[in-house]
Amino acid sequence: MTKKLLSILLVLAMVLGLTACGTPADESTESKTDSAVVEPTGDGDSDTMFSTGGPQEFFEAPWLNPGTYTYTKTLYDRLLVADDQLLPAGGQMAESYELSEDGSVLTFVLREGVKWHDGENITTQDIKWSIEYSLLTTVCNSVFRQTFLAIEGADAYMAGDAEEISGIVVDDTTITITFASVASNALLAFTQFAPLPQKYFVDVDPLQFQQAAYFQNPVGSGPFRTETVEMNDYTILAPFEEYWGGTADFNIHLIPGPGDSDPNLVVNAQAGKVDYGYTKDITTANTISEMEGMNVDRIDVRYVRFFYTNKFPSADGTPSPLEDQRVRQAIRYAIDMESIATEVFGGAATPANSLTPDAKVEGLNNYDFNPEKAKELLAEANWDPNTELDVVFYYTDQQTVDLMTIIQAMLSEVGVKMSFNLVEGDLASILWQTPEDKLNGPSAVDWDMCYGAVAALSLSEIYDRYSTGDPINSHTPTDAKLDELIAATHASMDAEVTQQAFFDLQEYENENMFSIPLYYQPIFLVTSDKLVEANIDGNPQYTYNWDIQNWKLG
Amino acid sequence: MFKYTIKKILGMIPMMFLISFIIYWLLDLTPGDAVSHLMDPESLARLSEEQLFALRESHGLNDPFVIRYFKWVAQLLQGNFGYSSSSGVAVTKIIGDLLPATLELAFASLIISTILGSILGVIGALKRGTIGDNALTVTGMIGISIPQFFFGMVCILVFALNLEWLPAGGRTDPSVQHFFDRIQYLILPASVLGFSMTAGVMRYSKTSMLDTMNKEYVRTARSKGIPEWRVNLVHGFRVSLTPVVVLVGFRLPVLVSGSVVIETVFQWPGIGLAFKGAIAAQNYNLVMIIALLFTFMVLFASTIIDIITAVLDPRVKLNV
Repeated sequence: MTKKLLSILLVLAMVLGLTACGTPADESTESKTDSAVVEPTGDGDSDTMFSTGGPQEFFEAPWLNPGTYTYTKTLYDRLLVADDQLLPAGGQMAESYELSEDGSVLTFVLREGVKWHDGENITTQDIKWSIEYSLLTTVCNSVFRQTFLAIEGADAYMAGDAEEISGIVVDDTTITITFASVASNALLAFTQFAPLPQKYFVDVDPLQFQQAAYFQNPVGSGPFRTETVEMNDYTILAPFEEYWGGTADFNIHLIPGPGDSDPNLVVNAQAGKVDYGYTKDITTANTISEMEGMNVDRIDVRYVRFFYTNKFPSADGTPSPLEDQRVRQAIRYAIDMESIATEVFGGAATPANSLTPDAKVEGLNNYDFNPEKAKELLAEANWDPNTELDVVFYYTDQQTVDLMTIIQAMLSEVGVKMSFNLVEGDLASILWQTPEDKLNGPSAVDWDMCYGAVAALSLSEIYDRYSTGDPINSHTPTDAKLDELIAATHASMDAEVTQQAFFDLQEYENENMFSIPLYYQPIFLVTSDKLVEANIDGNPQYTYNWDIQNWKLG
Repeated sequence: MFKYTIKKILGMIPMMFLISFIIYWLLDLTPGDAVSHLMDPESLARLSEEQLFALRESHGLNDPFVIRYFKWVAQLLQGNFGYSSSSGVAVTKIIGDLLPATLELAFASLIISTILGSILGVIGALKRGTIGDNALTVTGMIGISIPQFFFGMVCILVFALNLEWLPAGGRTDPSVQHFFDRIQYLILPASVLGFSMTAGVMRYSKTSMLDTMNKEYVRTARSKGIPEWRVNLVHGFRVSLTPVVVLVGFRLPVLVSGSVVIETVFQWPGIGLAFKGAIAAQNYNLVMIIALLFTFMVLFASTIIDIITAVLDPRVKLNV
């Protein structure tokens, strides 16, 4: 009898437990709003666009990676809007803007009646606060930071000597920003920087910014607002009825995952759960391109993979094996990037001759595969064949290991030994700890080459890291000429002058090989046939005038 | 009996502390810390020493490991489970949001594995030595041997992508109003998890059934002329289920803690998936509470089984 009773109780407990777990979707979360413009009806319908990169634990703050996620591009407006080449194309939150001829004063006139998703008006004080507050957080994009630190009074504000940045003056409709030094990326920065509503961050420690309750269900300013947030399950973004640029006639259903290179992208695409997404993974792109109703478009972006080369002597005073530029040139000659691009990356990668894919100066050395030339340069540099280069990388994918193995074999062919290993943990110290003496070292890091990547919003992001005193320059000793060339890229607001400065820098880089560029990697935009009218030509990692509220779904 | 139960429950407390200390220590041994996962390395390297100190302080990471552990225990004893270092959300809310999904999956797979395993085990026992029995044994071995992630992906490929019978992942969608609307999401993950557990139950119930069928009262029943089906079902099957029920009870906590792989493959928003992410991010508060929850469930199930066994089996002395 006891046993029978126990068995019945256990079964009852199971059934009750299962039923208790079955909370209806519309009753189970605090993070919801009530109204709905379009009733979502599941997959396959024409009023829902499925996208990737939905939140797993929180909505990522939009100040570090301004457009990585579909939600960062749709929930927030910026003051300005960029075109698909990321050049300023007009006002967004701002009705108009004006930059003085010398670039020292930037004035925005706020669009009348623009609102946050909670119905409150967006104010010029919100804009001013956002700029000031972002500088105190740890998630401020380097282009934003560089621009905002150039504002008059930013130094005093950062030093704690002033409560606000004196160079930002606002009235009811106008924001006037006065720069103390040249901010060559100012307009670019304001096409990507998303102001946030101050009232939600009144008591939030800037160091805990990302952990603010706001990022569980953000109140933005863009054409879509959060409708339902089932964290790590799905998120529905609904059209914002009061958006100044028009109201969309579809919802966005976000599947959780990383913004790019989602490991579930293939499965979700096959299951009809991806109408818009992107990936950097060629295998994923190839697989999806073969699916009926799916399209994959290659978009060339500023994304380069390369070797940092540590040119500082080691702690025991041994000179760096990469100190001599002929050795660095030899290494590049010894690597057959054409073959690697074809065999390893299926033709998706492009061999690189510079860190900047889109600043094409004429006459650069392409370093085409030439092992004989490599041997010649090594001989000239008195290369010791017993020296072993210690290469580190931080990517955990198999493709990186394959690439390292191939490069190891290629270098071995010209008499350069190389070992490689994955580094994990405190990468800031392992990779970027700078030496006290920026000219003579010794090195504060323990590697000869580091396989890395840069996805840059501006060209400055790529090159500034090689200047003396840059907080992550753990690898390049003071080089007066290099410092001068980098400084020249920040010296003028004239676009042509700045472009020429980058060309000069690129030429120097191509000869000096202070880093060894390997390949440029494109992004693969994944869309379904459901998108019948959509401006998707720009870099999906940033925001541009894609006018998503006017897209048409079929 | 009361003293025995209290003794068993009190015995869980030092065990919980010991296990929590070991987990905290192991987490501390992994490279980096929560801050190195909160920010990308370049941004982190650009912080001044003062900023870095303040950032680490805000996450309570500047103290030595032992001090941090005892501070955490002190907070725990006051009922403060802390906040996720990634999202800033209270750990209790995260657990409250995610545990139902994991329990749902665990219960469903438990039911599948119990029913399937018991029936197949009994069939195997009754048809011992036949081709059917051998086929079941081989199937059982496959169920145990096949990696869950592989089996899960095969099932997604076949049932979700090719046949389009079931969703490929997730737990629900906006059109769902009731539990029964979204049962389609549960079928695949619960079946995969259940299938891998079925083999164990099947082998256990087969052995138990064989043991029961050799008992004297079964032979007596047969000699009385009771129909064979009645002997098998009433006298054999029912009795042989008792040890299986104990096994099943013990498996629930194991299922909860072991659902990490299935939750990852099927994008099931449960506690296993959160646990995996929290370990990668060295999210101490979340890892510790989930780990303690798993530990508690296993210890609790073990204690309950000890108590039930003591009640049912007179050979177990309660004063031991």
